[in-house]
Amino acid sequence: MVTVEEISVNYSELLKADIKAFEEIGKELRKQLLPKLHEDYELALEIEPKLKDGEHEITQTLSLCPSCLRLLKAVIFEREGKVWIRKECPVHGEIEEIYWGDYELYMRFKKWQFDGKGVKNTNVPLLTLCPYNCGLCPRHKSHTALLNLVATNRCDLSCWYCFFFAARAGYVYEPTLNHIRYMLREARKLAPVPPKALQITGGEPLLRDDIVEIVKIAKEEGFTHVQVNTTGIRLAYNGELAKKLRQAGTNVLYMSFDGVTPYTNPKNHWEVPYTLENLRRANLGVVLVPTVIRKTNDHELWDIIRFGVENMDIVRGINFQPISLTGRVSRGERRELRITIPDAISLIERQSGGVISKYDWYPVPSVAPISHFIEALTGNYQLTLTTHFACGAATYIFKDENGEIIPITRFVNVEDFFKYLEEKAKELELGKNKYLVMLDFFIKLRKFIDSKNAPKSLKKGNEIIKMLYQIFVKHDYSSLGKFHYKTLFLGMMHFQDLYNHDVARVQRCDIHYISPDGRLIPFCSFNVIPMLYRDRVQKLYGIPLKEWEKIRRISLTKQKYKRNISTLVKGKPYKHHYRNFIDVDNISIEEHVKISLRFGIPAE
Amino acid sequence: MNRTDRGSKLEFKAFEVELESKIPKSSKIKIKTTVYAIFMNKKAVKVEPYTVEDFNDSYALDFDLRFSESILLSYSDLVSSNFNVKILKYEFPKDILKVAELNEVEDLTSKEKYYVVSIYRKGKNYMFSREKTVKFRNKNDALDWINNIHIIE
Repeated sequence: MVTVEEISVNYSELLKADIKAFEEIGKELRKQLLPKLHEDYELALEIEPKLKDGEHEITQTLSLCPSCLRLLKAVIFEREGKVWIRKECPVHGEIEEIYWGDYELYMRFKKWQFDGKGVKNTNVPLLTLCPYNCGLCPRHKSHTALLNLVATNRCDLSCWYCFFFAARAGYVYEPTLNHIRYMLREARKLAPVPPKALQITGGEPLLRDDIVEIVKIAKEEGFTHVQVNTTGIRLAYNGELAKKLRQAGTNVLYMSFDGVTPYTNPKNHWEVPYTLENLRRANLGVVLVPTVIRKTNDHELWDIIRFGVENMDIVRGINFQPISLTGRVSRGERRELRITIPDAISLIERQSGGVISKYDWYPVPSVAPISHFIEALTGNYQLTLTTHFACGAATYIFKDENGEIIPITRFVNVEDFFKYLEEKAKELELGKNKYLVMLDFFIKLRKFIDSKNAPKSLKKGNEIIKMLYQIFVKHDYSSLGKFHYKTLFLGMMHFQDLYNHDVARVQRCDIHYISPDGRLIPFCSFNVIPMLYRDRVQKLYGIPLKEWEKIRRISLTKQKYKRNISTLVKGKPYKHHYRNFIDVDNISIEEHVKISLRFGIPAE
Repeated sequence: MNRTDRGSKLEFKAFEVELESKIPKSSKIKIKTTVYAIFMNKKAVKVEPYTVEDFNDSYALDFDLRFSESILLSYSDLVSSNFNVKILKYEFPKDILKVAELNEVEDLTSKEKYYVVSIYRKGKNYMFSREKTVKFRNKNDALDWINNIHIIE
């Protein structure tokens, strides 16, 4: 039995606890852990933020003061073709931040907002205002599309911008296998749509010796899609681990990849080629995840896509993440570093010479009509992506036989197709005969596809029609998998920070963390207000760093990764993967070492 | 739900809502509310508010408690809308058993109309707590359900 006294947890008892014990302690702690008015935050809703000359209001929302976390009213407005957010704290004054770099794209994306149906079994009672009530609470509009599980906060790197890893946090959080099973079970209780996609994250989750076991547990608990979020460095040296992860059921790796040169990607530039080789041998796909920072790597966005296309046999997608500015960041620094989704989209358009234009991108909730249609057809609740339209964007690109890159929107009339599906879903809901609807669907389907502009490989044997048939008639989603393998998914996901924070986005978030006490916490509450969510709960379930090192007889400092650059740059995989991107023989070993050291990773 | 004991009377609050928003999602919603008192061995009786007040931010949590679960509407949605919200305040004698609240929800964007009935039971300390919420497509079904509550008990 685990003892909960006041608000502390006995760590040594946690190590021995069974699933039932985790259930009991979780239930007891949840309410106590919720942020409290006057202790953790204040409200200042009386101040209505004002517009200035040359600005026009788009909407109002709720937001937080980055300094004191007061709940404030905020105005979202247009100025000079861009979208901004402004709020005013009675103590810390006015805060203005760029929200979206392109007003026109914002208005185009806005058309595609679909809200979810909420969640039926919330884990926390309604005690306070959003975003201090996360768990999920009854206000939450979207169910979990991707569940995040923190397997450890240990990391073998110490990137300058990260405040999360154990050595800097001062404690180690690493749930036991029983604890993990409890958390996954709690998450799967969500109704009406239990999550099926899981991301195992960290810290560096591959530091855990039992990572393969964790993947197996996830599969046993009903997660059909399991991805591991990693730097991939360990897999560069350990091909066997890649095979074991794949065999255990890992579907894909979610791997940091900030650029194609050592200058833009000092985190894992040297290891990535070796990791990709080992992933090929293991037949384990990977999604590249560049964190996009203005004037740091934003000039390489097209090169990153080219790198993905060149390695399409193993790279399944690229998910660009414009930087989220955590911690205190001055206005000047924010201007220096900040990049928003439309900025990145526009850079890709420019860098690719229009191969991928801004009109090829659609907001995440634009695909909701597919779920609505299938739901209406089958009568079964479907996973539906109903995030806020400003949170993310996506497109698919195809590589034709002649090497040409063709976005899906050039041969599929996505806009009309989604509108048609939404219309048909409504007809089905109103009781129209489903066979008549399906007949109409087959007749109309070809109208949305412009075969003459499609990649040659898809023209053969009506591949696209076949895929759509499998999805909509047979409800066989493995065809989506095939679709994915012939294409490269391109995504954008801009996690919030305290400067651009918008409660309307939090309420629609569908990427949730499972908290050690069983709550489901939206990504942008868990990480954006860590003192109220992530750090508060993980510290409670964790152990001070020194004690952990004593018990495990491991020194975290000694675990730090040290790279052998001279060996890495001499290898064939390194030269092969970067041959079209950098002059591999023209950067001296000393220069390589200097870049790595500057980032904080010892090298020789 | 801000139900307070006002001397020998019990207070109950309800909301009437008109809301129109463009961002993040275009929506236009009207919620008309009727409240019924239920006493032991008697049929539900429609009651009138003793006062009607305009919404202010101090009612934010009350608003969320009332509508977030049943209609998925919260204070945050109000902030991003043009709205007109009225607070309807009712007084009941202490021998009241339950309160039934009927929300006629008209979604003018999707052209949907539905009815949400919530039953509140008088608990310890003369506080009302929500016992049940049921959604109906038809107003007569909702009213029948309210009228049969004493029989159900």
